[in-house]
Amino acid sequence: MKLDATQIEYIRDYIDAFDVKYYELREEFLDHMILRVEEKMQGSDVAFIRAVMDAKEEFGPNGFKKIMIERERYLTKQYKARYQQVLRSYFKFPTIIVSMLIAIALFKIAGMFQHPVKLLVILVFATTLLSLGELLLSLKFRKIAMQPLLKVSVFFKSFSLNLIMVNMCMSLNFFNDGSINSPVIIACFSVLATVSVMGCLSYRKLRKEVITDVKRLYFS
Amino acid sequence: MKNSQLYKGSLNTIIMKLLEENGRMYGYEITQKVKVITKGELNITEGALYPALHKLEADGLLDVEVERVDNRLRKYYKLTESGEKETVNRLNELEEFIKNMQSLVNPSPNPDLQF
Repeated sequence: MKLDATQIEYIRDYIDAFDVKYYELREEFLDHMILRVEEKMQGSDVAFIRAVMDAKEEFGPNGFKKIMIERERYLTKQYKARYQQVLRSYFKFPTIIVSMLIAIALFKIAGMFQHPVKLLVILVFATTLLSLGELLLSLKFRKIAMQPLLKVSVFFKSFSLNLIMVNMCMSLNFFNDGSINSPVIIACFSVLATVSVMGCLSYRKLRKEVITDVKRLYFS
Repeated sequence: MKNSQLYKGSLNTIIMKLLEENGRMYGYEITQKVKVITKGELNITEGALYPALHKLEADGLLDVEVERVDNRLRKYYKLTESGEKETVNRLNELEEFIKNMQSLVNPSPNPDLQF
């Protein structure tokens, strides 16, 4: 038997009562619950409400919430692994040649200024701000039907805190007196600035991947 | 799930095998298929199925497609290229495991060990 629109709406509200906050998961649970309730009511005199409660039971105690938390955890792990993979690719042959050239160029250019370290710190600060901008751009697709999308929310949450912390560290460094000008320190900051630039490119690439995926699944 | 502890370690392999045979499937369909194949002996609970599907997806072994069916969204899972290769490996491992278990449960007399 097929459930009618009122019954489907009841199941939707029932799932919402368990604080399933992401659109993807709510839709997946909804489809599953509808099919299970229809199966339970097929050829038997089980009441609709009873069938809904039994179908929920099969998700286990705190089932929806538990699945949601695990899904967030898996996705965070997936995005972090992918970010590291993309970032590492800039330090593998042949791209590493470009990365090394950037580091050398930064070292040389910074050396021409009175406070080279300060200049490099500003560069790191600027690139982390750009990286944060990349994360913020993803938020354009954060909601569908007034509900947050899991993939976009997790992508934003996975990296934003780290970037804000890096930014704060860099801003603290910015207020030093700028007197540390040894070549070793300048070289270290040149490498840091290069990693920061590549990090920004990695966020950009990852953001595009996440948004393409979300668009393919839910906005096409 | 009957004898759930015995099946627990093989759940991912079971899912991957089903997807290998059927191309793409949605969650409810997987639970039903398992029930039919095992004649109701094995019942995969939703609380075990979805975390397994989501983990396989996060590991890059499954890809998803979303379709509108009966005015609601249905999420289909299918194996990725690496998922297909991994299925072969895991099935081999599972067969090996079953063989070893059979040897342990029903040990055939070894003439080399007889005095």
